[in-house]
Amino acid sequence: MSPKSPRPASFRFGLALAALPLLAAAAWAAAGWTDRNEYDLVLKIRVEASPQKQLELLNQWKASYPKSEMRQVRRELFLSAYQALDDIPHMYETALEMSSEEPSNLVGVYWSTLLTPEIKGISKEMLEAGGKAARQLLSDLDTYFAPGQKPAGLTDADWQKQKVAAALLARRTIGWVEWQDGDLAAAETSFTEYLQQDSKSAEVTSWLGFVLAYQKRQIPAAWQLARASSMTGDGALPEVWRRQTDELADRLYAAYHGGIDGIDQLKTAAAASAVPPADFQVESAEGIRQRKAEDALNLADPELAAWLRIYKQLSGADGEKYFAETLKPAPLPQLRGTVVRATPADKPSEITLGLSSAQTEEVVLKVSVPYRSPAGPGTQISFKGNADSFSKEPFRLTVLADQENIVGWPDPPVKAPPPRTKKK
Amino acid sequence: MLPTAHRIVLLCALAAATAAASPQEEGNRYSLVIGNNSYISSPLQNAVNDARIIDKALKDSGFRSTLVENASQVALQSAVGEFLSKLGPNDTALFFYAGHGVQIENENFLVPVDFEAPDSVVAAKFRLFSVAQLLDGLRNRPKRSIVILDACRSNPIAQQKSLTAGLAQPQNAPNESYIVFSTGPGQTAADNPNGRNSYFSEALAVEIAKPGLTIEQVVNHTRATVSSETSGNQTPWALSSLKATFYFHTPANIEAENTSSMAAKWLADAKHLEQREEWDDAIERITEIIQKKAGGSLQQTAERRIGYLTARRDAQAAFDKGDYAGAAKEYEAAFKLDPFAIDAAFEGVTSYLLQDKLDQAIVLLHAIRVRGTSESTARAMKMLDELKAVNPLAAQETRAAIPAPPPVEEMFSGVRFGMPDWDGSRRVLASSPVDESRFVKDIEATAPPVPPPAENQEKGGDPTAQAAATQTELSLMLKSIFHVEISPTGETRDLLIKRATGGASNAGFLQLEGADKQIPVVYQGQVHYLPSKLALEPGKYEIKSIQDGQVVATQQVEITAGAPQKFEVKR
Repeated sequence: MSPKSPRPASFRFGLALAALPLLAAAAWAAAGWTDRNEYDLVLKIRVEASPQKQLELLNQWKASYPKSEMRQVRRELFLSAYQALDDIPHMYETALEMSSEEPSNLVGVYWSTLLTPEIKGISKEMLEAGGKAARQLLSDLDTYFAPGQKPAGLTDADWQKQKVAAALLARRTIGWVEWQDGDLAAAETSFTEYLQQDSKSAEVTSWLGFVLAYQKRQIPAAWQLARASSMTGDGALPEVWRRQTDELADRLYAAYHGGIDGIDQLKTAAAASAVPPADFQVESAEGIRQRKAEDALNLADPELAAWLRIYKQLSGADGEKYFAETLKPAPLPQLRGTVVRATPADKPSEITLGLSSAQTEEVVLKVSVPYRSPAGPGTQISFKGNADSFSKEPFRLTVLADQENIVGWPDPPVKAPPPRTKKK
Repeated sequence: MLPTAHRIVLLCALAAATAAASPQEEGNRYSLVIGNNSYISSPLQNAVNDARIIDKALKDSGFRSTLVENASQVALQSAVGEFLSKLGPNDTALFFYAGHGVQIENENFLVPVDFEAPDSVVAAKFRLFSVAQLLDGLRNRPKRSIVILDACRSNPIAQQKSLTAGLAQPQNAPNESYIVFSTGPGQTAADNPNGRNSYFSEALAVEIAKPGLTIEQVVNHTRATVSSETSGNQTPWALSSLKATFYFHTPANIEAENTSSMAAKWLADAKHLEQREEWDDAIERITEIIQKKAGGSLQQTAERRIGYLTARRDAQAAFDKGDYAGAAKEYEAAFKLDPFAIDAAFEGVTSYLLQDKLDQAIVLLHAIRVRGTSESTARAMKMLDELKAVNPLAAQETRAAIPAPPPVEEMFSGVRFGMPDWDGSRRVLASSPVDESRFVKDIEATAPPVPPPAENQEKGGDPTAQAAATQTELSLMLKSIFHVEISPTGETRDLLIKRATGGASNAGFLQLEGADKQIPVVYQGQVHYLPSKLALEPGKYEIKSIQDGQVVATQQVEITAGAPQKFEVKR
């Protein structure tokens, strides 16, 4: 049935009571009964208390009057009986039948939308039908919930509330279908949109967490899962799943960070906010390892550590930018290198050094005042200076330095004193 | 709403008992789980597996569960005796049995694995375990009892010995009990020879594990799954006398859950009671819904119904006292409140006729002709026929054609066809949450467990371990440049014997030489350069040359006390 208002009860009742045959015939048609036996069956269903017996009678009605005008009403009664038996699969089947016969049928569309995520091992066709129903519900929301459709006895505010709830339900199912279809990015968007409207749904929050986790985004996933597990009261996850979700948040956090130190801060923050603040960062285990490695090398060999840091930046994609913005404006830390070549040979002013190894030409050290003595290849020196220029290919960093900031340059050979001659 | 009448003819079923009540009222939960496969004759494949998964599901839901596999008659009796002796007045007892079961003279028996049928059926009783005996033992002992019998499998034992396979409806179910049978009347439960578990036990274990479900929901879900998986050939069945809701896993928001799900249960109960004309009890249920302020359509329905039920109760009371005027008034009131309560209308007719108020009776008979079934209409017509001789209104009514029945929307007051049951949908969402555990398991499989806190590293514990950690970090840092790493091989440490006293070092030495003085040599978290003389504990060491993170050469050296070893480092 399309979302139309039922016939006024007083009109129907009046017709039913009429004893005049002509009027009665008209009422008969209006009531939609094929014959009195059909009515008898439905009255029995109405009186029956047992949902299982109701189902038996409904099936009898279906078998006897397969094309009854009241097929959709019958399906609604089936829905109700199945619901009383908690028989979700049959409820879903019935709802799909309703929306299949009449795609705009609100009851069919609504229940198909609601139940799609409940069905375990759902077929691809059913999933597609569920997604279609959810999109139908969302796109025709204004029609379904037009003021004129409001059932008697419901306030405008309640009717509006119902509309919002139906829209959320549709987004929930659309996200679910996208997720089950493997479109994780789309599901993420749908769930995020949902949570913008209703940030207190632990269920959808946890689904967003799962979708993020499947995308290997451990920290955003841990955030959502921690948030979902922190929720209490209406809409909270059942206790068993709340615990599982909380543990999963720990696990994802630890997988990224290498341990659970800091998880409590994340959980506290997640409980208070649906999304992490813009500056929220968690150091990755790899980052921590890298930092610890740098610290260790800093302690063991600070000159080598400093050079490896500089080298890594310069040889990276933004090497030139790093040189111009970071390296050039400030003095270099103390570095150590091995002389590969020094020119001119007798009074060197330009010394080519290997810092990563004795053979690799990496730095050209220009001294303001030439040395008065040479230094052979293999001589190790430490130096401080200022970066002057940089070329990535071949890799070459030119550094300006004063002699007093260079340690290890060999002293000029001491000249042998001239032989003494006796004065005559 | 739960089925009632056809339960009487059930042969087999599963039973689970639920008791409601808040967790504060709960005592302990004890369960005895029995699975029998190894029958001398007609062994089963899955009963033991069934018992195991149920035992696990029960333990996970807080039961102190005892699992007995392949129980002989003595073992079965002994296990049940111990089980019953544990139970206290606030406890919940759950008995689960998977295996062969038979009925003898309408009494149910479980078949121990050592059962050998004697010549007479009567003698057989003494070699079996009586379900009635179990139920008697449970009577008045725990607060509530749940009995689940998956014992309706195809049963050659019964066939061979002229016993009846499956189980009969128990006649002595204790109060506050829930009895579940794995299949319905005339059906045989499948052992599922291609699977590890019976359809029933498998579905039941899954549902028990789900959070926040009442026992009724657990059994309803199980029923739906089993029925679907067996193409309708097996439909589990339950018999309940529980007054309160029992959860295997109590929902987090138990108050809200209780109000909504209890209201739905009470409404269903009230309808059953109404059908049996137990007006006081029906009113009590409906009143509970109103008092609990269940809200939504349930409360509206309850509020609509209370007047009708009260009128019916009062009418009945008046009629029983011979106050036909009072009865007629109340029946008429009831009929006005529910114009499809045809039985009330007939009672009203009778009450009017007993007072000779024919006109009023005929008005009601007219209404019956409008809204009654064909049978009711015919009965009304017959009464009118009898009255027409004495009352012209009756004669007029008999001449009129049978009025058309009212449209369907009028019949189901409170139901808005074409409009979803919003409240009902909320209950469905609350009672059947989407199973998230599968996603948790999926994702867990890709994420390692949380490591224990690295106390040694953080708190400066074992220096050797710290040095090893630093060595690893240095190794990572030096990955891009050629370097050498020295580490003891495994066999060194365990066999090392240090001097207990004395200051003299037992160390040996490794002299590292090489032309390239720039090559870092990493040992115990320290970086050295050539030439270098390292003091090492005696033992075997591995010297690895590493380029771009790859080991390009490995050499082993053995250090002995006092004798220096030389090693030339080369690219």
